Amino acid sequence: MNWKGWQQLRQNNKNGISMVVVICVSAFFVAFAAAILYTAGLLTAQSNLRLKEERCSQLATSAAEILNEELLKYDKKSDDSSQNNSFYAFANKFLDDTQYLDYSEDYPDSSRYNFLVSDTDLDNLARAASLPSGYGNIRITLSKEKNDTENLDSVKTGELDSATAGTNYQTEIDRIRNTTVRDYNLIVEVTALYDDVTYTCKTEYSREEKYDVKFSHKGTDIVWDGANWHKNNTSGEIYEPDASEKIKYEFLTQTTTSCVFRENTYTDAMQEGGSDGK
Amino acid sequence: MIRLHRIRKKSGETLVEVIASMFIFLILFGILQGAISYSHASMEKNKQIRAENSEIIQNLASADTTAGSDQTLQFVATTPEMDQIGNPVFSITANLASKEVKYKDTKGTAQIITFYLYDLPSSSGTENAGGADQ
Repeated sequence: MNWKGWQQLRQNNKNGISMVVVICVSAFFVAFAAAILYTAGLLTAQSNLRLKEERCSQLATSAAEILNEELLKYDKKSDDSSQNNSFYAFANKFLDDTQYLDYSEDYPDSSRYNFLVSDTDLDNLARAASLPSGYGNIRITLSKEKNDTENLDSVKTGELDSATAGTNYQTEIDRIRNTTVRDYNLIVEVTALYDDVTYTCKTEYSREEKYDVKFSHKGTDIVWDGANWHKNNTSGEIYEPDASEKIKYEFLTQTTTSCVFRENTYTDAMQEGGSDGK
Repeated sequence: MIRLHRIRKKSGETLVEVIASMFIFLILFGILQGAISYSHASMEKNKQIRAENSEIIQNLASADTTAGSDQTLQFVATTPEMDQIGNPVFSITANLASKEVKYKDTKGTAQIITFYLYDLPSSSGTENAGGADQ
């Protein structure tokens, strides 16, 4: 039976080839038509997406502007209620608190911190109950980097140039008190989520802080009252530092006299990629 | 007998086969023609949508911002996967503003489209018209 079947196959080896050719050519035509339809559909979808992207970009850039205003609103850390719950206060806490790690390229997920609107629908991140339809949702991502351009240790301590009797130290003390220390860069990414589109606006700030300064001479804490040095405080005994040792100063990093955020702008590098606003 | 066998060996397609093939190809050409027509119409539509979009975006830049209500948004910490949320950490107050953009559609009819944006809260006392544009 098998032998007979084999013989039959051999005899009809060329039969039916025309149908195979027809089917192959048909398949090609059908595939070609499908490709044309797909491309046309894709182009239409792209055109419709443009407005949605624009909506999303408006939301992200405007939200980033609000955060920018929030950061620039204050110039000093304060414990009073005016800064309670503010983005400025949290940004400072974020930079000062060691539980928030410095950004690491090796562990980007664990060194970038995300914040969402409290009533965000976790199944659909583009929706938050407190935001009306059309406003999408906002996600804020913070990361921090140590400022490499400054040698902070050398800035935070030092010595006064001269220590001779009768020297007016006021100018130099003012210079030291007005020294700004930029210890951290804060990177704020504001992402607007609208339907299935997202747009991220990234802004980098450096924090400029001025600290209270402690002066000491030969291990004794001294305070300048504008005319003389005093021991421990301005009502203390007048102190005359001799020239055998220079007066040392140290910034009290826990007591800031000024703390402002400045937006970093880079003129030598153009940022590429459509999704970044800044 | 041998001659007949030779003729059969050299035989081509039958008329029925040729007609069937032609019929199939006609159907395929029809499909292809339909696809090309659809594609052409789609391209035209795309062109119109793009022209509309560029007019909208151009007008958006000069549109006035209409202030809405102030809304305080509480932000909470979340995991990198954003599948869990933690405690509130800070809040920002924003004005839920909007911009109305006028444009003409493909039929020449005047249309209005609304864009939404966040603006400085009205209580902040900052001039906010167009403030969020960049």
